[in-house]
Amino acid sequence: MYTGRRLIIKGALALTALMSMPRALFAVAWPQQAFASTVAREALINLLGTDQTTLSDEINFTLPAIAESGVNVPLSVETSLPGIKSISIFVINNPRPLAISFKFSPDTLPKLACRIKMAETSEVMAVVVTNSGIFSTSRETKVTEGGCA
Amino acid sequence: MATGIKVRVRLKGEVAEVKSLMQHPMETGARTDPDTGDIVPAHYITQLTFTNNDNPVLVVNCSTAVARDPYFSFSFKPAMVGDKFSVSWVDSRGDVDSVETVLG
Repeated sequence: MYTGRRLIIKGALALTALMSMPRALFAVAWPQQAFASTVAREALINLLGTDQTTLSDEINFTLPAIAESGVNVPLSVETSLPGIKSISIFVINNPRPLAISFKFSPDTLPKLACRIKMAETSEVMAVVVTNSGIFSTSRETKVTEGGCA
Repeated sequence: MATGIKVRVRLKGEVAEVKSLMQHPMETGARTDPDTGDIVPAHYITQLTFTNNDNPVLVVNCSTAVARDPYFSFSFKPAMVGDKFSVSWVDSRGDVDSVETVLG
């Protein structure tokens, strides 16, 4: 009976250990360092290897000019730039600026929409990585009531 | 099997327009529980994958700055009636959820 209880406890511990290793379940790398960065420049370098981007007027980046609540800010990105590899969104004044990063496939059309949290009024930057380089554009959104991000 | 993911795919010619809404608290780890006064630990979707016929068409890496009950909208092509489309996610606790649908 004592042996039985030990086996159950060992089993439970093994299961817990397995459950706390989500890395094994990632299809693609999750950019931990970039997400942990507290400064936008650092986050860019950690995510893309550089903080240098080319400003582009071919990125249609839409966010509300004023967000009543920072907990749910809708945005959309659409671009005519060809050969998109990824699109990432940085909220400059968030405690950790990198909010989200989309990895495209050759079949993905160059437009998307999602919803983010903003801690306070901030510049928000959309960074588009293509076969020809890294492009970006930003918008400022005023937040009347911050959503802890 | 219950899933907390809703997905709608509209086929327009060979383009599939996807809209998906998933239930998840996306806790930042910075919020205090008003009843207990304790910090609510971070609990958020870390990675989400949209797949068509076993090919990932979009992989999304998320942080706590993605809004609660994440919503995504995007399109891909080619797609056709009968394609097997699925959405799956894994979160910071190692929990997972997924849903599969047939385009048509």
